Amino acid sequence: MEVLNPFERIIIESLYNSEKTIDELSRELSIDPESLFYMLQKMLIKGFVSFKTGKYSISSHCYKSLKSSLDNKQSQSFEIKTILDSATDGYIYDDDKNKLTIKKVYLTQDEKSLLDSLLKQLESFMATKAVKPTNNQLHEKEIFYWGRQTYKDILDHIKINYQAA
Amino acid sequence: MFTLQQKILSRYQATFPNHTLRQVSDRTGINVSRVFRIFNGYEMKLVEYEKFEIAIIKKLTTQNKRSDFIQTTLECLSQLNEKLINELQSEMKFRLEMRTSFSSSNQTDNDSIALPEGA
Repeated sequence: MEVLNPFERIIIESLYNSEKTIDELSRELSIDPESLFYMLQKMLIKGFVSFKTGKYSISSHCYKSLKSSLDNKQSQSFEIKTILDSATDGYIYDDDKNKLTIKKVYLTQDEKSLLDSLLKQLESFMATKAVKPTNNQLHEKEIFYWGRQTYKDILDHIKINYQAA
Repeated sequence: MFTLQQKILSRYQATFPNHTLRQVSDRTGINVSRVFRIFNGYEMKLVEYEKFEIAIIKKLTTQNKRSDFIQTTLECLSQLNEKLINELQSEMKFRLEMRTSFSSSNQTDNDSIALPEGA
């Protein structure tokens, strides 16, 4: 099974909406046509996209394998790592545009319940925002991330992975 | 002599021509009488093989700013568990894949590194 890199995922997402010429893809993804052409050639070889009358589209015969590749844990892991790498650089190099926020706090049970409720509201709000307005380009799509762990979760993870075999 | 052992000793001698047994011992940290035995066909232990390998790589990459990377890679191989090594390897392959996602015409000489023979 092919592992999809984040570029390929975004190209697939764009072509899922409609078939496009390389110039249309270039505008929608904000990637220069030369690099895009190189990526699309690789995707043509992998059989994920087809090229007909000047337009690229998702190959209809490979929907199943494409879905498996999109759902592949390693593909997802690479996408998450790419997002968090970019956010981590923003945190380290103080880039306001690309910032990761981390807070370490103690919470009472009541505060945890309040936070759960706030997070649910946030998730509901995000769910309503999943539909793409027609005038937005795909490269303008915003990515939000949140989550929480305890120190114990992190220490356990370290222990499992780094304890001598 | 064992094939891998023969190969590493040939590479060592190609990298350090005219080294005396004492110099080999100093460079690898292997006892001089043991070095004598190894060069005369006694079976090399894995840890000794690694010492020769590290000595060769260190020499070949002395002038290279990325030598630390190779050293760290070797340390990871010897100290991390299989799961973490697989993760590192996947990560490296992924980064190469991302790099090659762009046209090769964008590559510069600084992007590539010539690997030492057999490393």
